[in-house]
Amino acid sequence: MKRDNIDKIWSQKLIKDLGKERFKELFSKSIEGIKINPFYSSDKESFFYPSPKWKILAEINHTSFKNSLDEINNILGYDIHNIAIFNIDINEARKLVSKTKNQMNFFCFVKDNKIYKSTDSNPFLAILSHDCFDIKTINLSKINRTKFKINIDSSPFKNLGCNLVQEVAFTLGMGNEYLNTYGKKTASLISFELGQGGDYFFEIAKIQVIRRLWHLITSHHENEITNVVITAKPTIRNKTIKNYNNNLIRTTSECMSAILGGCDYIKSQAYDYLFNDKNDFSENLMLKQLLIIKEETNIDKVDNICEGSYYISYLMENIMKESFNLFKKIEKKGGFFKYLSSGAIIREIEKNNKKDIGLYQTKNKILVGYNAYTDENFNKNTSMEKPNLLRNNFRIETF
Amino acid sequence: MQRKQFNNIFLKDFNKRIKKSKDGNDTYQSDEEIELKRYYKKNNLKKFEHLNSIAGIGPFVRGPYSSMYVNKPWTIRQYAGFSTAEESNRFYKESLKSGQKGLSIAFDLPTHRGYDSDNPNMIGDIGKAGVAIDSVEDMKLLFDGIPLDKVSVSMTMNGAIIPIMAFYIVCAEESGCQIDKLSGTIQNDILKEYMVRNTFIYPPRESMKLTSDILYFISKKMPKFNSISISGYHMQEAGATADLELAYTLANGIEYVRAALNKGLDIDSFAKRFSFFWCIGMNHFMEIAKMRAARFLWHELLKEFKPKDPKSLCLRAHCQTSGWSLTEQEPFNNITRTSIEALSAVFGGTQSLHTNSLDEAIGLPTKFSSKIARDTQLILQNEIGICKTVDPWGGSYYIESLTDELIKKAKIHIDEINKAGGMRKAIEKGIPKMRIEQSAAKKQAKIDNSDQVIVGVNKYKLKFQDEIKLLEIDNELVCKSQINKIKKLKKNRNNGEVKKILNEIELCAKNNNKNLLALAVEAAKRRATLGEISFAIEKVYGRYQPKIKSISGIYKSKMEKNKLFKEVIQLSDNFSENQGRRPRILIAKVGQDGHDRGAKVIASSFADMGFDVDIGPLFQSPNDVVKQAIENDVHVIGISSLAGGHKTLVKELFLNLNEFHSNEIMVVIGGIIPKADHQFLKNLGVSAIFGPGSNINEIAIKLLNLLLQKK
Repeated sequence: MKRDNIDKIWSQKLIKDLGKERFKELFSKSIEGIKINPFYSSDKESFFYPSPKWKILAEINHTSFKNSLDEINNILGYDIHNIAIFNIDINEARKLVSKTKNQMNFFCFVKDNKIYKSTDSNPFLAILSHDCFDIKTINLSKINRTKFKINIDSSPFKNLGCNLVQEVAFTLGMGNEYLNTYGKKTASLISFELGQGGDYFFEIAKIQVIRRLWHLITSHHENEITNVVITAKPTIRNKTIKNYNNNLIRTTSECMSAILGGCDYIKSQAYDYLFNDKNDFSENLMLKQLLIIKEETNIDKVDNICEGSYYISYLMENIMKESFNLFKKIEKKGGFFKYLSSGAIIREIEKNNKKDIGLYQTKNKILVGYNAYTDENFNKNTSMEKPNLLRNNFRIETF
Repeated sequence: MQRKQFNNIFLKDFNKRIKKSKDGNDTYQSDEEIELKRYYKKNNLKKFEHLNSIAGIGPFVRGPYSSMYVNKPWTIRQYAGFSTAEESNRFYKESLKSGQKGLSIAFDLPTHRGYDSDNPNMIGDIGKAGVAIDSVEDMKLLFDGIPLDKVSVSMTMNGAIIPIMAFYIVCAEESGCQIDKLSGTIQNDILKEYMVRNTFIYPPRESMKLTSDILYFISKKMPKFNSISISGYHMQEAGATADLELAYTLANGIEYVRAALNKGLDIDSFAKRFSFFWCIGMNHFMEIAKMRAARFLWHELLKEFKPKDPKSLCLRAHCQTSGWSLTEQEPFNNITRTSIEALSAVFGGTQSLHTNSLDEAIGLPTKFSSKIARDTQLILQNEIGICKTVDPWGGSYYIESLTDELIKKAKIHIDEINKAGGMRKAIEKGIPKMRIEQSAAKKQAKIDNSDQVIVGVNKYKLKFQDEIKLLEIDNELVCKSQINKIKKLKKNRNNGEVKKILNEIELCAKNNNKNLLALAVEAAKRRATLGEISFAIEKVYGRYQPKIKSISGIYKSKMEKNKLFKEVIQLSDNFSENQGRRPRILIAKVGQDGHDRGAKVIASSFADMGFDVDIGPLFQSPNDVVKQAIENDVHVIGISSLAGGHKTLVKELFLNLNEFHSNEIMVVIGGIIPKADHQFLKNLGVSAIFGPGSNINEIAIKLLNLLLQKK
């Protein structure tokens, strides 16, 4: 078959099979306004940033030296060698590094007010986390910049209900503020942490788009970053307390899409994260989930699995276009922080959130066990949710 | 610092500028011996024949239907059946209520093998791996309150195909449905039974006659019913790689096409009612490519028969996630595995899907576990956007290349089968069975060598395992209930009429002059039982007993450098020095369970480790096993059990050992044995129990140590 005729013949075939009216209904539109055709048959010359060898990232909250050491040793037992530690002091972190004899690659999330004194060289990675609700950059002027990284975690936006185009534009907008504030050298300090939602192919495309647009933005700042470090983790928004076992199914597909999209580090989320304290059973299940993906699926044998996919390349192109436009619009209005402090970001997210919830209410979108296929026998009370799970919790299930 | 302005920055300028990143040079060899490249490029695609295809138009690479899930998602079809017809019926009704669209019936092993439940040799297997069906009355209970003209029913039946199909038809008629309205699928794929699954009754040539009778009957009277579901599933479960599964399944399909043509049917009257059944394992993209390659190849193969209707060239498929890939260890990990496999199946464009429950490696699914399995599909259908567009992976350089590689590999295997004179002859020569067993032995060596990691089994093991609740079938209760039903049936029917029709069936089998299914329908109406109908045919066709052959050398060749393997060799040498002869083991399957991958892998690897190995024939009674063990003077009997009959059958085995005063023979058991049964078996005298995923070297070491201690 000649390539040029494919779309025409396919459409004709669909009309013949289903009739004109039904044919029209096969075209849909995503919440971002991106059209989705029932088929794709060609790619524009697509470019794909090959997935580097992605790694599993474990995560602990530092409470005491002993507890952290125990947890780290436990994680090493899974042959996992990358760990994010929260709320740790640099000196404590240094002790942990020496105790674990360089078997573990540390990402120590430290409070910026506690690191100013530190001047000696760090054998580990200290990370400053940029809270996405903050309207200014972390003050780097007093610290030796090269020794720290800045992690921009945009998952709270996603949890609040922003769409994918907004997510990309806001995430990059935040990053761009650092470049504007501290100059191009900061480019190499920045990494992104993304909330991975359920929409498989959109989420694959998203990671590629962020990579490409960050590449563009940094090259405009004259410090080209072609391989920004991206960590992905499942969102909270679509997880449920009713039928909580289903969260394991959701996180599996979300981690798969993140990996195929080309994240560098992948975290998962325990199936009982919403209502239980951290516990061995669900932690084990969560780490094993990632190990199964790594060891049993062969998806880490090829670096550019998605490249060439007609559908993914279409999504990449369109998400890129829309989100870069939004990014430019925000820049035009003085940049992300200005936009955030004016309340516009929250308003825009809220608008999308309402739209999204509306789709669930009218059953145009389905969350299994919530607005369809409910089963009282398997329900857990949603009031069991842990308090303060995240600021302004907008989980679908709570509506 | 001044803000950088982006007003005049445009994507298209940037996109022109970016360059491809470096290519990786290393490759990885898949189990199919396909070299996977680190990096796939557009120019890899140039020569592929299968490119630029449209779903719904030949060669159907991108899907059998033009709109695929965008118009209608795949059918969630969970395979289930256990205990009595009443119990299964209750389960089916609940499943239909909670979002399932079609039914898929699992029959118990005696039913598969054509025996009634009152046959004394069947005790251990009744109601265990599926539902026991003895007559049309059971079938009516099974579908009570389910409108058969609305709910499509898939039945996994190959051996006792004639009586089961007859029961289904009569059941539908007696509940007021016209049979031309029935939709569903009958597996009717007998050839693969001789390669892997072993639930046959008659020899291959004779069985093929039954297959063609079914094809004929359905093509004439049941236009909406799929007359055959040609299954690769059991091949992969038995150890076949994707290329073997693909090639042999299609080659079987061609054999059926020829059989139907020989029966005088027109290709267009039956080919579009053929459906296929794939196993979806963990090799994510290989499985997607396999399904695409299958559609291409079937189109190409069928073209030679010159059908006029393009639908005759189209391969439609049902898929089931792999049971073999599930682990007994940490069963909740299986949710992840099944989710990944389900993703492959729908990315590959399946028409219907069964997702396994997390506990299927250990026993029958419970209400709890089957809900998670079903929800897996509901989540994929509703939450991830897969139903928005057709063949979302189409165009991917990697997927398209894999599709091409599998097409090429499968063609080589199909050629081999053709050269052997077609599949039936190839089976008689043992070619496919040998290739599959070789592949299983290689896989086992890879796992035992830790070249392939199975999480929680050969790496990342947990020190403490949580046990989960399993569904326990009270086998004796089911037996009693079935026997009572048969008694009642035989009392209330006109036995003279039954005898008459059974004679007609026998005569027809002899003369091949009528359609056996049509006669069986008549017999079912007169309340003949499944065993009676099967036996009437068996009197003419005979019962098939396969020759057991074992491959050797493969396991050894992959393991020679392995430390544990060397230790086993040393121990078995020690043993023979002490005893003046090699350790001798009888590997036996008891009851009607024909799943022999485990038994075969153990047999061939044990032979490679210095054991004298006897393999018992399939379908032995415990008494047969004990006799063979005594005659061959073995040190150990190794029982392999996968279908849940172990408690009853092993008890029988020990009674026999006692009777023959042969208690010095050690008994070990391997396969799917729930933890809860371990103590029971040990109390009987079982020396060791090995679950799925056990390292074979470790099994051998344990056995030899036990033997050495004993002497």
